[in-house]
Amino acid sequence: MDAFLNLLLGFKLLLQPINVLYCFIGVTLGTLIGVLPGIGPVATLSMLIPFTMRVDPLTSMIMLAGVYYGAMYGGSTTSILVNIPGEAASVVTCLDGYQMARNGRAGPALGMSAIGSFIGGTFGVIVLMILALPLARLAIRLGPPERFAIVAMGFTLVVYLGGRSPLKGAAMAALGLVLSCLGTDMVSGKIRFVSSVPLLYEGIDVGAMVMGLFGISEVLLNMEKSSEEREVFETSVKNLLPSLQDWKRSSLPIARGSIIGFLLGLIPGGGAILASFTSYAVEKRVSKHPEQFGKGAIEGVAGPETANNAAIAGAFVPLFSLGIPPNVVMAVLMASLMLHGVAPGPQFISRNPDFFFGIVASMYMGNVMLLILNLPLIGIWVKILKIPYRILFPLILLFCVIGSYSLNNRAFDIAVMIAFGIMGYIMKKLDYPAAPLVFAFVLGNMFEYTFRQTMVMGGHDLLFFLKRPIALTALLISALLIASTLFGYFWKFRMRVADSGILGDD
Amino acid sequence: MKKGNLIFVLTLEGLGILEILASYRLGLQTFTNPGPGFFPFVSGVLFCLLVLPICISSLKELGKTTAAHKRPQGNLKKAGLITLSLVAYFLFLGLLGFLIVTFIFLFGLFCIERHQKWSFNLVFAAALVGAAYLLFHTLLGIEFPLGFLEIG
Amino acid sequence: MEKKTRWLIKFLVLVTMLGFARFSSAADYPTKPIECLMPMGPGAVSAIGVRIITDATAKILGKPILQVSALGPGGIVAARRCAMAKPDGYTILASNSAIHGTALCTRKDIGYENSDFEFLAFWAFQDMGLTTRPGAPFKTLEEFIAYAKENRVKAGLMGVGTGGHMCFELLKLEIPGLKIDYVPAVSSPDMRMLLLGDNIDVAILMGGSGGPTDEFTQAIESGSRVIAVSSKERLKAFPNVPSYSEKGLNVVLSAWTGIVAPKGIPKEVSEKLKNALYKALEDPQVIQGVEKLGNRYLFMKSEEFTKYVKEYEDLIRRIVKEAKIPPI
Repeated sequence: MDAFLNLLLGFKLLLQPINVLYCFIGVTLGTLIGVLPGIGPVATLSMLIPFTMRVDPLTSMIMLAGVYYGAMYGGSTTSILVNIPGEAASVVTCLDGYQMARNGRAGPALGMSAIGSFIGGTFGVIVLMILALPLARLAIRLGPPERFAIVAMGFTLVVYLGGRSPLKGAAMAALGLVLSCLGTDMVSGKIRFVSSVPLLYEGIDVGAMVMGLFGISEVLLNMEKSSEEREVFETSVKNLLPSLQDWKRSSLPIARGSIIGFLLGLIPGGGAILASFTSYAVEKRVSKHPEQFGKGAIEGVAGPETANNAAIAGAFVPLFSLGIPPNVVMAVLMASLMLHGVAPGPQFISRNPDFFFGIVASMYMGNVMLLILNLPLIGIWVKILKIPYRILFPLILLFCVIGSYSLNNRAFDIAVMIAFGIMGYIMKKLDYPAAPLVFAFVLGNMFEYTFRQTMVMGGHDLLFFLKRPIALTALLISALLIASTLFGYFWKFRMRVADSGILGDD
Repeated sequence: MKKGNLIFVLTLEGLGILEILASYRLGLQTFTNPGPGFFPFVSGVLFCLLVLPICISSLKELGKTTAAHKRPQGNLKKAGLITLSLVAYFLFLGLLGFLIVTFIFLFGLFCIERHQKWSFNLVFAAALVGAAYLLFHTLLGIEFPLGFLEIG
Repeated sequence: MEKKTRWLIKFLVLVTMLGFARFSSAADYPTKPIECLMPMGPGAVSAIGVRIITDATAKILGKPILQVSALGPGGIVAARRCAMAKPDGYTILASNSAIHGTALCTRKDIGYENSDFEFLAFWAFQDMGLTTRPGAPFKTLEEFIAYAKENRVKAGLMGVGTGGHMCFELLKLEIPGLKIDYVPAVSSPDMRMLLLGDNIDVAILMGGSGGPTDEFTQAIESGSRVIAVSSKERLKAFPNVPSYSEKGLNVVLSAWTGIVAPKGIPKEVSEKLKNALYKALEDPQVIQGVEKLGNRYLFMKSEEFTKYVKEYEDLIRRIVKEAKIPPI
């Protein structure tokens, strides 16, 4: 098979010492910035670009790509250990991963996260290698109507991210939509609601929001309790790896997560955040015991972690086969290629098979390196849980503060984080779920602009959707899903006419 | 707790209404040709509608006399102090620069828990600031504010 | 205490305070790092281009130039910060045609005027090419114009008040009767996806320097056609693409980038800064880097730059007035 031969060629190129070295540096650095909250690949990559000018394009790309997918391995670490997501893509891992840690199962959580990341990443690379060009053609056919429909489907899943009260979850999602409107309207250029606050002209930074809603709020909540009341996480050395039961439960979520993640990574505007949230919601929806989600269900860790790594591989498809970067990080990678004079574009793979397969080979190797790197680290991470909280919490706050500053190199995001920290604290005490808020916030802008794009394309006529079968199908599915969910709730509501039942058990 | 819930929910409802009014001013236009205010308006209306049942039931709860179902409040003072420290960090970061403000911040946080002697806290805070500087500035290249003394 | 000791202490305190106050004369400039305000995030391609220039300039000046992002639509946030900054030579702005032209003339209450700046050096044009979707029923500018008079054409727009918008409006002013609907795009990759997917008929892409990394080249490779370009003369890299001017249309409008500073910098400091910039911009490595990123390198020194900005502002104001573009 052609691809296989090319892959061997790629490995031959890869196995030069300098490429192996740069791959290792890349994935290690990536893991580090993934673990550190707030610090993300974009800033690190743009800083690395001058360094990569000294080596040839393949080597530089190997390292930069390694940083990117490496970051997706490390992101779940703080989510599981201290309930603080390092970036928006790691938020859903907090929901069940942290609960697992509280039950003394931090090891299996971290382990399954690493393994899922490995499987997702490797699966993604395989698909990238074999199906890059046909997938690119698919990606092109996903125009605004299709993307609008996909986002609409995502919204039907939002409810599954909530806690016990679906009404509160939906209300928080609506709040997320409202918050996503703050800033500049992409279509008209008008500044919405914040004209007196220039620092918000680009909207609220989702990283600051997430670190506040989940991280700062967690610290504040813990500080309420005196040191005796705070839990001591018991983790014995024996329980560091996932059990057979864990494997059984995680296998299908990992499989689904790989596919969902890869496809969502392909879509421009999609990416790791969308992939992880969607995977979580899907797993909860199809699970035979959804009530376990939010209490430490390993499916809620395995699925999303696999999905966000698969999404990264998926994001490389439009970059390499069309020359179009689907997100900001890919744009930076493309800029580095441009500086080397290499141009990703439609003929890229056929003209530079050695380059393409060299990168593909490096991604296989990088994923293996990351697995080998991350598994032993579990032992170290678990020990961190033993640090007394009075020393741990200043460290957490320090990392959060620096992390939020580093998002845009300005102090304002620290204030945003604090504000959302206070809000998250109140929400946690009053039992309002924060995950739907984040998901709706992330989707809000895309929902709006894809709709407006579609309307201009279709001459402001809703019947335009009839001409786009893929979009129409997706919208119908969404409508059916909403209808079935609502019907289910109304049925339950009728069953509990006596209480103020719709607010959940109190 | 019930009062807290009520305040929170009413605040949300109020903010939602303000938002609806503001989006109306931005210009709604039509559904098939939405203006910049359309989507915020619809989101705001949706939000207010979803929060309304919660408001109503909170008001009803207030009227009822319930059994003692109070979650222990815990030490709010500490949480409040931490929040204030964070706010202070943000306010003074630009003025005094990263090294000084972070040092004071960490020192303050260690003192809040009051388990070690303050001299130990001082040294530990200084060590942490140094380590953080090395990790984030030297290795990861993040540019921190220098403050008017321009240390950093 | 003895009188002498007291005087000694007072003297030492004074010296320490002076040390902290960091008196610096123009001859020592720069004594500390310089801030370069950026209207885009650190990951943007344009940011990398600026970094190439500022790194080279920093080497010449001997102090680092730090990039500070001040995000906001049209660059107005960064521009306002620069206009209000202290004119001591330690704040510069990686400016562009949006800040001094399109955003300036289409937005109200932005808090600055072009007269608030000193224009240090101009470094590149980004030309605007009218690009068709692959499989479009028109292959030349004339065919497009004929088509657009009969059918509604969907044109991709990066937002109201952008360079592309101005270009389309100018074209509409020159040729009345064109029916163009604007489909909003949120980023340059989004625009290109829309074009490839046949969701829009035409788009204005930025590029023109040639080479495999140029947006025009990539579009052409995907099957699109670039049917006109907004530079005055045909581009060297694309000799088959006519310019609007040669077809008799007065559409000469390219986006551009340059480095500016707040007005009022002491002359000595300003001269040093300018000379460092000039030298960096004449460095062949810098030129190569800039061109690889898709810019059409053109270097103008301060006086020429200032004159050009005035022309450009007048042009945009004319378009806004005649096309009756409502303020944002």
